[in-house]
Amino acid sequence: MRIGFIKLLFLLLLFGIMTRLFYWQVVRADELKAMAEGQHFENLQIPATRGDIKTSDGFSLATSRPNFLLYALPKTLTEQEKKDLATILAKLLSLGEKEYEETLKKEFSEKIAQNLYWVSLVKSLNFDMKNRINSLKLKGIGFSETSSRFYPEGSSSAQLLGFVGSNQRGEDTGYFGLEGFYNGELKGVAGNIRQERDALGLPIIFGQLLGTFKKDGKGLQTNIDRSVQFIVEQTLKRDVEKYGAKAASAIVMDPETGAILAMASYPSYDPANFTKYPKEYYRNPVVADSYEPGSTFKVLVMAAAINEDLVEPDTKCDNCSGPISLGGFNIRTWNNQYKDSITMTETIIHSDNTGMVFAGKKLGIDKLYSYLENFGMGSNTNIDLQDESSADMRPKKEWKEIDLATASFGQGILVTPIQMIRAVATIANGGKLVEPQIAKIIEGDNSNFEIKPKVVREVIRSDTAKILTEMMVKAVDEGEAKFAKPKGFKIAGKTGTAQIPIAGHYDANKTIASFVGFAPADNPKFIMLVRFDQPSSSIFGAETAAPTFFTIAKQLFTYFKITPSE
Amino acid sequence: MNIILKVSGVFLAVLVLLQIWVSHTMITQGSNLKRIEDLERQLSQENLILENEIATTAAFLNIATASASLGFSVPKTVQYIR
Repeated sequence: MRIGFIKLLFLLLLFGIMTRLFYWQVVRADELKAMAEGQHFENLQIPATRGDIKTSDGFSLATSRPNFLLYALPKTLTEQEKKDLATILAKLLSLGEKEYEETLKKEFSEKIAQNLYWVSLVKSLNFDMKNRINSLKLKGIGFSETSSRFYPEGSSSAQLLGFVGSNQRGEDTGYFGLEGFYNGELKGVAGNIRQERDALGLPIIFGQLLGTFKKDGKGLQTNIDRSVQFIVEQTLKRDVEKYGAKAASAIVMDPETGAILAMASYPSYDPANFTKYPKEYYRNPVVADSYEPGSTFKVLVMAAAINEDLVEPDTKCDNCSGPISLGGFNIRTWNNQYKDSITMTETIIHSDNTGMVFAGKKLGIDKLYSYLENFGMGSNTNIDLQDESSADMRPKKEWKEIDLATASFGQGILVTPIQMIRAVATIANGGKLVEPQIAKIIEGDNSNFEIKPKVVREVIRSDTAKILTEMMVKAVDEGEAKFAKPKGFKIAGKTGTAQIPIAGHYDANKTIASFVGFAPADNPKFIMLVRFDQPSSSIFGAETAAPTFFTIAKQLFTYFKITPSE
Repeated sequence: MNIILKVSGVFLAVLVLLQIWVSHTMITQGSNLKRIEDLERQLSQENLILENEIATTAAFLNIATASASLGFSVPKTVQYIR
């Protein structure tokens, strides 16, 4: 009886042990395995460093700066340790400001008092402060590395660069400008490593190391010439105030390759603190703002007419002795002065609207429309900036005679500054429409990818380009802006003063004043467009944009070692 | 035949002992590895900070301010030697 009882007892014990083993080994197997792996392995997220954006000489316009997040582990601290920690950290981080120290102390005390395993204390500590706190070997705190964008030249070329913000998932993402366009190349890929650790949490040398290593973002070397960019920015910043303009922008491009050497706009913003500025400032007006180009457009229409052999430089206008009545409108010259039998060269020199209507009529709607499309109007230039957008051209079938007339002197048609400079570059480079490019090289770990210049199409013949160049040289030498021209240099250019359409009519006192030109005219080293939006000191391009153009050009002659030829 | 077996046995035993010795020696090197990893990270951060400082100092904005305070200015006229 007793033996039987003992046997039963052992059987029950055996069953109990087997049940318990089944529970651990089968029922909770996955959970326990995960817990064991959690103790043996550590998962490390290693953020990739965003690639730098550099000028053509390798200077960083945008780079990365290490930052640190300071966190506390409240559950590992006693009440006294929590108080001491809040006091020490507040004293260090307040940098001697008593009032701020008290505020910080209160803030830290409240955060550490929470019954949590992990709590964030400071989000963006710099390297020095992190080292100072680290040297104190405080218990219950830690750091995690983050990074932020750093701009050594300050807010220089903000609209060109764009900025880095957080996307919906909290990841760093580039917006606008180069940061937005090349975000895929610049951002890199974060590493995710699973490393075997010992009981002390230290890595085991022969342990398992799984996962993928981080891949830093690629660097971007641009065509931007640091010196040219600086000259343009400084001059434009000074002159936008001098002429009381609402906004201003300037572009300098190599007409042969389309390489953008400088691009600046005002008002600007600080890309490191972009949230403090109105969102309207983020878009780059050079590629995103459409405007009526006014008289700068005349050189394109004249180029088309000459290229079609419809007019020659000496062709005389037979209908330019007074205002032209068309579709119920009177087309006048800018100074209301008229010259009978004005030649096409004189039309460009004196920016005569009636002479341009004559040339436009010779072309007709079909040919003019075709040339405007070939010059790139109504389509994006494909410049490597995220925010490019251009206005569509009105469909050809909707064009009337008055549209042909106004378009011939640059009103009633919308262009972006980048479209305009690219179109005029065809005159500077012998007739080729090039693609404007900011990035020159995408720098990888092992190899670089060079972005080669791209010719889109040939728009005008080289002899037409030469004729137009001579006309533009005369426009500079004999036109309204001749007072500002640097002596001895052969510069081809054209002023523009376009009225701004407001509430269905043009306001004569609100204009876009611009100047487009290239130099040296016979072998252009650069082409430049300067544009002021609603200058108040003078509404004319000849008195605002042209002097700014020549001021910048003078400095560029010295920089590029170009000597006077005349 | 016996000699070959004996030599193989000894060789195997040496290998096992060597493996045990290496494992026991290296298992304690985790702290060194951690120290090297931390040092590498620290030096990378310091390099980045120094690069940023150099870039800030070499920035045209900074040079222009410094040169203006020293009395330098943009030349008003340029003489060309022919």
